[in-house]
Amino acid sequence: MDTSGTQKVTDEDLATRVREGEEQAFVELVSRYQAKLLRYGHKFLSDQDPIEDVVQDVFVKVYQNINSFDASRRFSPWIYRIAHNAFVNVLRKRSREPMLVLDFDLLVSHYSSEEDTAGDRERSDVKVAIEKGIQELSPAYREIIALYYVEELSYAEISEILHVPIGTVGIRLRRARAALQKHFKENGVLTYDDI
Amino acid sequence: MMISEPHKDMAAEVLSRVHTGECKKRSRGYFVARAFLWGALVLSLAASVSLIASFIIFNEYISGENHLLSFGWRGAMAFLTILPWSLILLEILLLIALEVVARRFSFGYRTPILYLFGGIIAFGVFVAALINTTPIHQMLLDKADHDDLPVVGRWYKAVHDSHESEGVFRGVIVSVATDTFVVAHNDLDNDPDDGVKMVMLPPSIQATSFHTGDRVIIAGDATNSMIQAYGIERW
Repeated sequence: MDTSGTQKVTDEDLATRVREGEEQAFVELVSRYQAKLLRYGHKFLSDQDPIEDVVQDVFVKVYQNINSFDASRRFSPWIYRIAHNAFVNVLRKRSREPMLVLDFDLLVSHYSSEEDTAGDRERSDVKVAIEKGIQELSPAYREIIALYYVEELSYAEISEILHVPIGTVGIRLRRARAALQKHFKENGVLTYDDI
Repeated sequence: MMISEPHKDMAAEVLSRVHTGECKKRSRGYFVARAFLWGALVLSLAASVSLIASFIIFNEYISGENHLLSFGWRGAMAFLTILPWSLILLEILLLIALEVVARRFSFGYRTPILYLFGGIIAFGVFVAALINTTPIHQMLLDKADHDDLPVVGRWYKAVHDSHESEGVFRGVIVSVATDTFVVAHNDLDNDPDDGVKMVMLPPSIQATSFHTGDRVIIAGDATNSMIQAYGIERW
């Protein structure tokens, strides 16, 4: 089926059409986000988790709750937020790697700037490094690394997905990178800073 | 754009559930009602926090217990001991609940926890101060004194209690001597703190400062019907 006509349609317009009952718009949204959410899930959860089933449940929730989406805001953080909640529930049920009960990074404000974090060269280097070591990190660090470096979302978008202040996104990302570097150094692997 | 088979499968699976009725869109009204309920919960919690804070402040002033803070460290310890701790604990729990609910909204989760908590406390204190400019608590106290206030009446009536076991006494001066005076306390509840006591003044306080009919709060050590005071204040 040729849907080239929907190429230039924004996610927000598609969501509005889904609200109005257009099924083809929903099919297009799934096609745009399925690979992204599967990738996000594979970085956040482990390979033992039923990631495809969880992502399918995410799309079910998207359909059920489409009337709560505010088309004046961006669709991407909204669907990633649903996916985040679904993945966190999987982790809670598994309870092998508990999420933080109280994150002290949420207590006070942190200064952060996206310019401090990554230029294009660093992003591509980190993506390579991530493939080698992300599963060794805690879930909170895995998630933020995946959202920023793999899904290439902004601080503001990640703040909306995780429901944390923007400053917390920056500080958590810095700590995640430090943890990743530490893991590589301990295992004698060249890090992205060494490349 | 050609949709490849795996993509179509996931969308098709969801749509097949829609067609069988297994998966339904929630209506706009559902989300409006849900937002309204969350908003009502926030307002209820905020109102409760403010009312309890205003009552605690009212209680401390109307009972005269705030004067204990001017009686040195012993007075401060007595003040802390007789604070309404069950109410304060309830207030803390309500503040935490309000913080948790507020974080469901974007203004809440975009704000660091401590800043949000501080903002909620500041808001509660501000509204409590506004409430205390009205006669509402005095009116409720009058109703409680006439046994006409259910549920919270006992909290209001407790304003009259002396705290003799903590060394805090209340009463009206009935006679004044050189370095003593006699106080009578009767909050019409027929309990042991009613009656007459003689108060020995500390060296720093002159008996001539007080007059018959003055209502006083006294901090000191009691033996039988005599109080060796370390702090006295009119209220």
